[in-house]
Amino acid sequence: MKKNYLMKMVGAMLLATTASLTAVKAEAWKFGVISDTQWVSADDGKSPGSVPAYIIQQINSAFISQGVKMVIAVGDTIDSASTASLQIRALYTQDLYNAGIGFYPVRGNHEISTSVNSAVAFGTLFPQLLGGYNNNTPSTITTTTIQNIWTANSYDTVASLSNTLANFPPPTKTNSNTFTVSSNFSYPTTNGSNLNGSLTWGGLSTSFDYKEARFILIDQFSSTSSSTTSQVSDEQSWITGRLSDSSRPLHAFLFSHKNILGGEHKDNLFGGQIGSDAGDGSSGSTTTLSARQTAVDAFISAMYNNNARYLITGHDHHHKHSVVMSPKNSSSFIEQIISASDSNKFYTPTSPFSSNEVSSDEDLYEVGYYIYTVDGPRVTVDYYAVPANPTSGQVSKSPVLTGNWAKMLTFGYALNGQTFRIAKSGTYTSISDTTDKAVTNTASYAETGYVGSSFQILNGTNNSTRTTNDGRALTKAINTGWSPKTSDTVSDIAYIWGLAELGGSKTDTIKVALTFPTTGITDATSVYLATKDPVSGLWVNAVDFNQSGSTKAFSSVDYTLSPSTLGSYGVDLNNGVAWAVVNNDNRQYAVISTATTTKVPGDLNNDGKVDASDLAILQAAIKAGSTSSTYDLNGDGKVNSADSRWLILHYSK
Amino acid sequence: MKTIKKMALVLVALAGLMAPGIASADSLLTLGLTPATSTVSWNSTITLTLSISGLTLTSYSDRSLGGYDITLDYDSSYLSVASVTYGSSVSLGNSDAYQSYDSSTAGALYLSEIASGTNSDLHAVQGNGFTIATITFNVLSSTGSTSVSIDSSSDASDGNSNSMTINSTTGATINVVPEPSTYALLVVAVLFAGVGARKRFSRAA
Repeated sequence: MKKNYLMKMVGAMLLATTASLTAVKAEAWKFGVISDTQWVSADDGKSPGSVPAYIIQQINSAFISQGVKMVIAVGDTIDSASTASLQIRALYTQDLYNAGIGFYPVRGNHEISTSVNSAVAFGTLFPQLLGGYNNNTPSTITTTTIQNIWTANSYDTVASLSNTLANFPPPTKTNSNTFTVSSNFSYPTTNGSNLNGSLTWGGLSTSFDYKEARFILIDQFSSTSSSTTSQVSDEQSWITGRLSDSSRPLHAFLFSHKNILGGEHKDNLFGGQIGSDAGDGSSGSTTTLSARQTAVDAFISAMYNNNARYLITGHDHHHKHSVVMSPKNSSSFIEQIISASDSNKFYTPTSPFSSNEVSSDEDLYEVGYYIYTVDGPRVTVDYYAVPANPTSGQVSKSPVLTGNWAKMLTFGYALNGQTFRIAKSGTYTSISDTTDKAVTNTASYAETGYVGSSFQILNGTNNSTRTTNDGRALTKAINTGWSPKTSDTVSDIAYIWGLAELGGSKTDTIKVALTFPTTGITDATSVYLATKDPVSGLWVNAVDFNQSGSTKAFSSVDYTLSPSTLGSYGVDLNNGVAWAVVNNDNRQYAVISTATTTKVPGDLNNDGKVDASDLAILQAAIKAGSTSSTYDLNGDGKVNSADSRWLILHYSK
Repeated sequence: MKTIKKMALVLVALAGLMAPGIASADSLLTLGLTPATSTVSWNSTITLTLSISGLTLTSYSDRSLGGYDITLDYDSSYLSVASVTYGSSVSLGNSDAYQSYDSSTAGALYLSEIASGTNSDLHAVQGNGFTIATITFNVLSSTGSTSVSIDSSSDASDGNSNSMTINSTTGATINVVPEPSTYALLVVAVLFAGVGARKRFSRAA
């Protein structure tokens, strides 16, 4: 059966070879997500006016070094709703503006209060929400004016605030120019009168475009007085319109503060309390979405029908990635990403949970941030975190994050790929994909040059024992995707996300296979299945990244008869299949010719010469602790400074 | 008296290991930080010297250091990296030599140099040992003791691109004491407390 499947793909390859061999690929770009920047405890000298300034600065520093184009804050940008706190939050955004990075916040329940019109304050402090003009915080807002407001309103700890603003001041404005990130702004107009004064929804719920993505920021609150109501139903026609717009960019990302299905919180994006409201059918540890199923179905269906994958939220002070299905139609679903806490408080999920949710992963009690990388039709999400608290509750001192970040998880999707859910103990063999979809949509994805390939996992089982905190088994959300053949590959490039688990890069042992055009290839040892080294960007044998217990062994037998022991790899020229048995979270696979990888010893970037650029690649690999034989230039079995010395002694003359 | 003699012997031995240019037959390849112990005050800086010794071997007389990747481990609650200054005995001043350091990870300073000169040129300059770099740290803590050590992942290459075994490493201990002005404040505070107590005692009486 598997053989037939892959053989069909060889036929598909021949059809696709008529496509141009010149790949056109847009440059990848990134945006960051920060969530729930609240300081609840007494000011520790770095957290003025309920704003965790030190945490924010460290995360902003990470965003800057990661090279993001913009940052989305998914609500609760402060803890205590006050004009002064909102102003403090705005001032501690300046380091992003100084680096030319856009910042777009959405309100959460902590911005809502009878004592402050945060709707007006948001539009004033973050004027970019009204047209994209960043770095335009009103110059009249200074630490002095903030302290005056604080004093005039007799807020607590005036002295503490003054000291903190003096000793830990907001970043100085070094970039005097306003700049625009994104375009095509849009706002819902229905029920505009629900907001105070003359404001419409503009500046609160906001949508805009940047390159291949449309951003839709949803403010569910209509007034200054209620933090538990929802106006999302009133906004749904605008949301649906923005999603179904024929001129929409490839991706659509939706952001809100509250979740469809939270963990600790049962208040939600659609109002009310899940599990408590009449009609929810709560029974023991489970509940349904019955009380709000019409609104939820309209929202999820609009996303699903228009190929919008991610709803990115906050509110729950822990990381959670799950699939949420419509309560009316389980075949309609989205992925909900609850963003980790950037606060000093951390929550534990509690029952009842909903059967409409399938959990992929969960991470508690860590401060975290997210980098979303958009690469044409492909999106990769990297979640970074630092442990902050051993249990639920609050910390009293700002954690040191810089230098301690760890990449905890990577997941993603491609619009030209497929989505699979592999439950605990399930087999991975259902994971298979072809370039048909990518080739069919060549024009809209702006990528050409496919030769036609097929990717499949030939064996392997989800042996994960991880569960949610409440003991529910996790289901792997696995996505595949494609990019066209490049000058250094023989096949198209296959992508896969979702195999690894929180905090690790080791996966279950799986056998992966990729088809390739065999024209002109007569020696099975002249090609192999490779993966891209994330450090150097070079293609290396896929089994070279295997972790513990791997024995490298080549085979040229029929791929259906090939061994499944870790480290085995081979090429079946009769069927045009290269395969490898791996256990590392390799993101990309391609078939590579040895002829293109052994041109000049030490020429790590394959540009035909050995020079400082190769040394830079090697040094990065050494620093990252690589043990790949690609870098063992002096052949002593180690990757270290002796290889660097070897390389510099072999510079091209 | 005996103790003093013993200490003197240890110092002589250490000097033999660490002093640049002093040949020592088949000595062990050692990376070391000096001064081994120092006392500094809060908000000041401390400069440590990273040296290598033991390059000269009777069986292989022209061994040199052709490159290294060295990580210094320190407690980031006590210290932060202020600056790194490389010596010239690896680069030999050549523009195509590689020099890099990375202090972005708190608690771990990564240093690397790769020589571009010939092995004989390197050996002529390096002898048995030399100063690799001087590193200045900011002192962040007001009091206590901390150490800087050479991470076991560090590696070294000879001039012919062979991996060299680093036989031993020696770290540095830094004792942090309050600034003199802090002591003065303490004394004043104690005096005031004393005067206050005396006054209260007088009134009670």
